[in-house]
Amino acid sequence: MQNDVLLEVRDLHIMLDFDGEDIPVVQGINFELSAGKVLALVGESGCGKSVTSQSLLRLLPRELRITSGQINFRAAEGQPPVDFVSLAKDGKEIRKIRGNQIAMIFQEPMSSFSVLHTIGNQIGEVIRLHLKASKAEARALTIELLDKVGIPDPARAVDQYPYDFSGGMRQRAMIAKALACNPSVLIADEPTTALDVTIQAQVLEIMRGLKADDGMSMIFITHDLGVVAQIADDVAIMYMGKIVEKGPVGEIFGNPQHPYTVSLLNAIPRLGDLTARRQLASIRGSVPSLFERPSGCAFHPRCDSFMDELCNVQSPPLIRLSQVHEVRCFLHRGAGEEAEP
Amino acid sequence: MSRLLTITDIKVHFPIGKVGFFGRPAAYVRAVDGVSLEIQRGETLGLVGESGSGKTTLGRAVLRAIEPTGGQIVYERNGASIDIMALDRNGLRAMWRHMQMIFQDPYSSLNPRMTVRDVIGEPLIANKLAKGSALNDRVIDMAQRCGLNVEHLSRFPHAFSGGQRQRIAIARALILHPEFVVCDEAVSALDVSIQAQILNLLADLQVQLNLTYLFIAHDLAAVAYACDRVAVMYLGQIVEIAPTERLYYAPKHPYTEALMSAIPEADPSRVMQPVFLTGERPSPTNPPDGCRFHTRCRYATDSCRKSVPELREDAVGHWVACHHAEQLTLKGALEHGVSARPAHLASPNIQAST
Amino acid sequence: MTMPVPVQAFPLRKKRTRRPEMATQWQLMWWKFKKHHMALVGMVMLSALVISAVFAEFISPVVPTERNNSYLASGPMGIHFFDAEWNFHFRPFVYARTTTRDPVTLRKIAVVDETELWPVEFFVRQGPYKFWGLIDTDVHLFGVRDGFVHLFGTDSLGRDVFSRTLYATRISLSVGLVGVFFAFILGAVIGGIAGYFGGVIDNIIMRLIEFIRSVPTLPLWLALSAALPREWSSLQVYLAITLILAIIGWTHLARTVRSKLLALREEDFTVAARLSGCTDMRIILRHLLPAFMSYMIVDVTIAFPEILLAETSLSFLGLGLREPAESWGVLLFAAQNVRSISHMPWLLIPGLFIVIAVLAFNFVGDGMRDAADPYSK
Repeated sequence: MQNDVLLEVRDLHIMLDFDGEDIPVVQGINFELSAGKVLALVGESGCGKSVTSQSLLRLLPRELRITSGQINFRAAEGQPPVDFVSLAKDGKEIRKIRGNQIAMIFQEPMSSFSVLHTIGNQIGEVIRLHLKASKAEARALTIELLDKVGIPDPARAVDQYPYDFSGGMRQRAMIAKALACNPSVLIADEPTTALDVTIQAQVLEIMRGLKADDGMSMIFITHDLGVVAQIADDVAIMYMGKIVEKGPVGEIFGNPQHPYTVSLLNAIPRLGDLTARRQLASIRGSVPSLFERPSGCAFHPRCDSFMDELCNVQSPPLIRLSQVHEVRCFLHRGAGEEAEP
Repeated sequence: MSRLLTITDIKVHFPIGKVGFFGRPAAYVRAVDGVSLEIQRGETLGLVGESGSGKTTLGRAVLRAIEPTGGQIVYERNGASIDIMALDRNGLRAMWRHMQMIFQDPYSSLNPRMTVRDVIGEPLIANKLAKGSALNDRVIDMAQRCGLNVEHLSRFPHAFSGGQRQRIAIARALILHPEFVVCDEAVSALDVSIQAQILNLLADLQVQLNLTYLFIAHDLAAVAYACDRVAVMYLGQIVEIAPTERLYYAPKHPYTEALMSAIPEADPSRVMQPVFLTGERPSPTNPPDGCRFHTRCRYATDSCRKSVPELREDAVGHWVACHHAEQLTLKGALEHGVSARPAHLASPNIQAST
Repeated sequence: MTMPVPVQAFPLRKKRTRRPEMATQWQLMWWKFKKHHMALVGMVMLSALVISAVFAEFISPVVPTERNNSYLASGPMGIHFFDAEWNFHFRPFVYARTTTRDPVTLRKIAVVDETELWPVEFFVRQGPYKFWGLIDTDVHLFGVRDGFVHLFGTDSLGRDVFSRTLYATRISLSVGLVGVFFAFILGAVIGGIAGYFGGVIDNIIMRLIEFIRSVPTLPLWLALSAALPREWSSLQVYLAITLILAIIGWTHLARTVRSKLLALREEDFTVAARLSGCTDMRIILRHLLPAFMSYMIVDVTIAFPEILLAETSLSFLGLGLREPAESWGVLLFAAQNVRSISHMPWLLIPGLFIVIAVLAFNFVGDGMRDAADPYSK
């Protein structure tokens, strides 16, 4: 694991236990989060991005379990990495890290806070738990955090309940809670999907500030390619449990290589096209269910570049097009070095 | 183009809270508070706004699926003007053959206990327009137009994905060959690649069946793609209406400017610089005096606090409700982004680097 | 142009033989119900009870009113396959009983005589009866030709407790059924009106329901049944009791129906149905009713044991059904005194049947509640 990499996922496999049957949900994904960078995990419903993000902090529900792979986290420079998969699922070690060195924010700000406690109480809880601060210290720090995320009148807000806040405010409060212990990594699972577009812009601005001013490293899960373009440094495109393309954001948007990535980029309406009125290119068919996984490459039934006898028979290997750009597709066989299948 | 629907000063107020033994309402949520619009035959009019704007309520009020608290809706049909508000239950049911709706949630808008054939065919049965094999033929025809196969018809909705269910919902809405269809966030709940499918389907059907759409959405990029004209709502009122290109590239209302600046463009070389609105959205139960947007507007002056701006035609086909529309020069959607990243990051063909 | 859409597999398909995409709501419910093992056990128990109720006359060895003077107030007679010398007899038998007088109390008692065996025969023709009061026949499932067999013993008049219990099963279950039926109709109609129309009507009905629920049930039942005229036939009393029980039972159902309707009214598919031109009646029957039918069935399954226990309580207190209509409660009424319990504890066996029935309904109700909404997760 390289020195500036904070979080590394190696060959992660996650299975779903459905009535005794084991269904693969995530099949051998690899990615790295470098210090001060934002990695976006992108995909549509059913690709496994949310499951992956939950697995990073071992937060998977009972039916889902990690069957193999590593999740290596380096807490500080020079320190040896810890493999989360080897830790007990809700044991002391992982709990010391949750909320402390790695924090997470979720999609639904309404349901992420308890209605029975004040915002100050809930954020203070994290501080007192991990930093062993006193109540007064925690309160002062909470007010500072609320101010940092742009909540007006933080001294008053600290004693308010979540239902007093609007959706955008609640999302900011959730970010404040995540920042309480100054984590090195922030995992954001669709944090702006449920928000209005102007509020989304504000939240994205806060997150950009965290990256620029505090050097925060983030894993950002979303399906919105516009948001990805605005916030991410590196992008990993997921489809049915595998990463089909990975690279820097400029490469992915400017030079997409996987047919799915290409189709996805052609399928989104763009502002620049208003005069052109380009026809939206849609992808035929829909994402297959987990129980009906196509043979070979999972995308082949919907792919315009489908090659019979190849794509439906074998699973394509991961091909390194460059040091930073990888694609999992038979089209690029020979264009680069092949990694594991 | 001729006029199809004229809406004048529509209001929809919901009572909330109870006071006293007999439960008189304590307050009203003024979801739609005086909206006037004209919809031209054959066009796709977009209706955008954030949560609390009242756009969904307006969409339902136009069909009288929700009863408006006040206002007028006039529908032109065969040269005659029909006053929708004056119709009784039977008259309204008859009108609904010509005005229909496609809902947002493909999971709750279909009765899970009916087969697809029954779902699509129900409007024909309820209106006593066809039965038996004639009914079946019409159902098959519409289903196929919407991209469904005959084998799909005997199944139940739970067997289908979101995009397919939305096709079923579209088939149901169109089986009576209406003229006017309200698409209430019809693609919002779908995956990106499926959204494109459904948007294309709606466009094709509009040509095939001579439809007029009221396209309600919060995804501004989708609206830009699908609509001829767009109306922007804020807190129950319309603040601007204009042809799509003009609205996006040359808006005249500060709220529209803020909206356009907040759209995340899928181009990493253009970093957004959104116009940030101050404060919070006011509650629809207690909207601000004067111009409702003045509490958050960076151009607000005294007159904005005191008097309500009228929705007036500032340029041909371009209506705006702002006291300062003439004086302000606002930025359009593409003018906010600044190429903050070095150009080479945006271009293709990055060479292998260490 | 629009592209044809490939067939989408239903995500929960497990067995290849099932076609969930073609499954109706009832099939989906059944599949979900089957996963609930306790509920299946409950169904088996219920089936056994229902069969005993329907075929009570056939299964009982004797007619319940028949008195056996040779075997008064005596305990259950065991059925054996092995005799005293451990010989196996293919045909089960009971030991003969001879009547003697107890030297101390001078009461008649029955003594086991292991030397004589009374074989148990199946499909025995003796003791004529009318099946359901309609068909004359004399076939019994089992019986003893030259003697008698009392599986659950006899009471002080020599009546076979087993037969009486079986006949009582029929009465008890049918009271429950009729009571639930009345409650169902009342609850569905009143709750439906409240839920669909809302407003003032809803308000009035809800206050009425609250009033009824605030009245203590047992005194109300006692008062109502005590008010029944003595001259009424047992059938009239029977119907009146079931109505009384239903009067209290409907409120819970009405509330469930009302709240479900209020929610369903706002669902998109209801709005879509209205826009499609459906009349109110069509919406209620075709869209709303099937949607909450499953919840109503759950409620009914839960209401059944309540009515059962209510009737048992009434009869136990002597204010319920009257002879010759005998329910489990009436049987227990006879076991009310200390003397009965100490000398004839087998008279309490009908109580066991009550426990089994209530448990069975609760298990089934649990399973149905889980299966009630097959479209949720």
